[in-house]
Amino acid sequence: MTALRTSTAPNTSGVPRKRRPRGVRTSVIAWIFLAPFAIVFLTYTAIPALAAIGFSLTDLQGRDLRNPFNVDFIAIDNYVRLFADARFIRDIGNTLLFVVVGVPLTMALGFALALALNSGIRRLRGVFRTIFFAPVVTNIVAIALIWQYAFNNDGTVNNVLANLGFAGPNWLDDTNTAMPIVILLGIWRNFGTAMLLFLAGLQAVPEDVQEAAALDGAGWWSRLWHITLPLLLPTILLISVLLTVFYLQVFDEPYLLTDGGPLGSTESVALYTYKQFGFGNYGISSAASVVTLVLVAVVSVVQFRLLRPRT
Amino acid sequence: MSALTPSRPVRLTAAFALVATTALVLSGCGRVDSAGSTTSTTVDETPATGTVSLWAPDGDAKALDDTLASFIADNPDLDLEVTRIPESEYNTKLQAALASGSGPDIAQTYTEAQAGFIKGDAFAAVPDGLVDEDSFFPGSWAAGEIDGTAYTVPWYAYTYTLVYRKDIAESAGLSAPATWEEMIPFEEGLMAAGATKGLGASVGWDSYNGQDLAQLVWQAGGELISDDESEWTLDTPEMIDAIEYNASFFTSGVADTAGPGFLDSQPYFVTGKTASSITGPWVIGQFDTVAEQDGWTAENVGTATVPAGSAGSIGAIAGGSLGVLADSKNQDAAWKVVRFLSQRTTQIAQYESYGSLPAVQSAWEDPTIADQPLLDAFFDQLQETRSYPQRTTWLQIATQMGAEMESVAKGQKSAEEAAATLQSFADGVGTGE
Amino acid sequence: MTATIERLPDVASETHIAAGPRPRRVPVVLLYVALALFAVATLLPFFWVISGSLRSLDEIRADPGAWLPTAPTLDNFARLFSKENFAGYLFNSVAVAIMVVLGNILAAAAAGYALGKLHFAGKKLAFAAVMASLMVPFTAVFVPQFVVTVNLGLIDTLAGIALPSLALPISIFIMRQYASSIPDELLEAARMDGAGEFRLFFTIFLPLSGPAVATVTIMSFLNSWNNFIWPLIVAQSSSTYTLPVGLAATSQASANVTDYGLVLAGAIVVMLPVLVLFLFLQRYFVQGIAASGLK
Repeated sequence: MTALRTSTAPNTSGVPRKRRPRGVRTSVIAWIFLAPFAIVFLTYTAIPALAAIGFSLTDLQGRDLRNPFNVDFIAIDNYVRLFADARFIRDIGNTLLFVVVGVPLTMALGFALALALNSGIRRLRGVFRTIFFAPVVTNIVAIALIWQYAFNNDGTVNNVLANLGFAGPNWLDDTNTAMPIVILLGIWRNFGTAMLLFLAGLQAVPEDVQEAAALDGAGWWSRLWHITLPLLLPTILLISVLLTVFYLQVFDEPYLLTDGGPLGSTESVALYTYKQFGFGNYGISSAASVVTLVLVAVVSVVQFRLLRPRT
Repeated sequence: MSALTPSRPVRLTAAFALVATTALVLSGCGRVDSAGSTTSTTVDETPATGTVSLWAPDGDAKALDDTLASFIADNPDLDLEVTRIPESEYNTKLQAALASGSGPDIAQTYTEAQAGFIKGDAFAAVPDGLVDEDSFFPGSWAAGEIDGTAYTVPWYAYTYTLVYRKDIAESAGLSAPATWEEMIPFEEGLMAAGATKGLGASVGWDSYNGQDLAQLVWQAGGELISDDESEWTLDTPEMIDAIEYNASFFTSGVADTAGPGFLDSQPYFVTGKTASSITGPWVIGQFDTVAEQDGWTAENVGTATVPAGSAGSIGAIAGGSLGVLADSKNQDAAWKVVRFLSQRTTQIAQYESYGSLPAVQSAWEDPTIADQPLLDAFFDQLQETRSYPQRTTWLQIATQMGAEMESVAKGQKSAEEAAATLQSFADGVGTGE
Repeated sequence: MTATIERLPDVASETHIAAGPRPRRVPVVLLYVALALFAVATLLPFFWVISGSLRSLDEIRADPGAWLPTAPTLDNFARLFSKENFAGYLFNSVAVAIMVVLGNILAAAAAGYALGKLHFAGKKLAFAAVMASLMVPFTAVFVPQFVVTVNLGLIDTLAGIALPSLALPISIFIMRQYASSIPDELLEAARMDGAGEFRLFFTIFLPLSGPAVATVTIMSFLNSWNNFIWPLIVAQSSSTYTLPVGLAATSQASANVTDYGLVLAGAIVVMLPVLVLFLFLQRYFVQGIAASGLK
């Protein structure tokens, strides 16, 4: 490795010293570096996104796959059908419920744990971190199976409740309890991510301001509310957007736990999309995904507006 | 869950079976040259020669090596290769092969789900005189026909019957219900005699329930689709009757909407948590293992044809059929293999090897089958079966039927409302191809 | 995603918030207890998986609700590899993971280097593209992605499964973040010596990026290993199934009796590599999340 030269080194190329390398040659090189990403992006993100919009305006069926261009253009028919379908509307409602309940709870839990791990717990921090993050990295198929096992009418949870003298409901088959269980699974799976992100954010909150406030007589809660949280606003925004985008596309939990039941009370928009795909109704499936895309965009923008740090 | 094949098709890939099914074969059909596919060649008695490849899903085909042994001995110039494919992806693999022109000479199809394949000109018509169509169960043969031309030859046959705890029934002095009206009292009697629930019903609330409902509609005398197959006929009095009858299992308490629990239907049946089920013949061979007792089934199980609606006791045909691909370069030899497998003696040998119920009716007279009282009901039921509508949108309709059934069974909707919803849904989806 | 933390002056070098003037002993003990309880609650499902995988089907049938195996057996694991095709699923998952990880390291490093260190025309566009690929939901694109895969002839292939994940935006963020943090002078000096950008990339940037590459490895490995929906869609035959898909197939495979022990054993096979990896490399992982999230 060459020795570090100072900026007073002789300038041999004749180019003004402070100008950064820019220009056609650098741009070409930069784009060569970007090429692998660009190819993947075009092939698997940009073109599919545009194609999805395109497909959604046709009645593309599975059998047309080899000739995707020989289909009928039906404009917004699919969207009309979607929004006239009570089932789709219900699924939007289910998905929004999942988000509105799931995101705050996940964040609250993650935040509480991050606070706990960050303040005064010296030993075992790594151990706890691993334990709480484990649900995030494990395989959802197996976990869903365990949850089915546990929440079955004759399963573990009801057995325990019975021993305590209570009769538990048929968790996964009762429309009142099925969705809460699905949400619970989502929270269990993801609170670890929220916790880690909050931990990272908390590490940037300086201690001296806290101490100054404490010396001034501010209590714990007051310090949390008036100092810590405002400083954490960017982190909160980030986690909120991430979780919302993720939860809006919830698929694994309803698919594996209840397959959208009972009576479709846990069916999400993503699950609906997948089922239409399975029937070969690619036009409708694409339209449903475009609706998801719009939902994601709208919700993200709204959150940015609401939670943007006002500095 | 009640499935029409011995192992439940993997739900995951069932949907994608349909994706590729409709996608690839119907697009592949444009490419397959109808090279002599509709001309009926006559197949003679000379030995088969050349190479023939046969694809079949894992299952009954496991016994093929044994069953075909004598044929191979009699046809020494024939090179016959049997490939068994995991059952859950058989449909998709076959479709992919058809679309790319790399399929086998002979392919097995599922009798109840072959419409998508044979409609695409991928299969050659069965040569005149190859087999005696009357030797088969009528439903089996008809399932392989499109517009009067047969494209597959039935190989083995299944259907559902009522399977129940004979011991519990006898202790209560009950005999199997013969009609719809007798069904609930029978179930209630079983429960009074000690069963936790009378009926172990399928409760996935998906296309399997839709198939069950279809059978009930037929039993009530109704039709699912118009004669010209241009529209679905689902909002009918017979459909309403069928829905109400099915829902009554749950509303009367003889069946649980959450079904047999997570340990599934057979253990529940063996332990008396349920005492009856409408299911297929494979359970007959499996109960002993679950009960961990040889002879348990003979002592405790009874079978009967399904209770008859006003139009009779009608079931749905299922099983396996064999067809020769239009692309095959050795159709002569291929048809000879198919013919051999449909002969009475071969059918009996197949039963003895694997337990496949013959599609040839006269094979049932053989003592190995005739001496099994539990199989009598299946034979009787096979006389009265129909095939599901052979339309590409049938799966969607059946799935919706299952969903509507759930609503009614759980008291959320009336049967009339469900039928009306079904009809408007079906009108929106159409009859496809 | 452009969240920034404003650093106030005099940032303390310690990394925890003072708890305040009240006595510390009681709250800390309570905290440990609460955390421990919570940890137990979090781990319960895992305990079930392990316990169940060691029980034979007979045992499960006899007493489904029991907590501990009465006659622990490794039979389920043996059957995974003899009766089910878990060896094949494992191979597929590993193969796909290798493709994805290598692709991410190369593609993300290159893209991250360009975005973090070079100035060029269209940089904003490139950046927007990376952001867009993060925000576009999978459900919006998987149908056309499926169509593309069919038309490329990659259906039912491992490459078809791996390709869409070859250049994950999160990997690019991490590499870009790391690239930004490398002092410009290092590279300037080499440039003035006449080194071309490619040489800079390979001889200076990559060797320095050890930690970032480690993070990208873990993140992309995780993404690939646990991916369920896309492999489910692309694979048409069980010889192409990856572990999550194979596990789901196994759990639905048997006709009338779900073989819970078998499925749970399969679950352990799927989960173990990830957990082990995480246990040993969690420091990098946490750093990676922190670095990508707080730029």
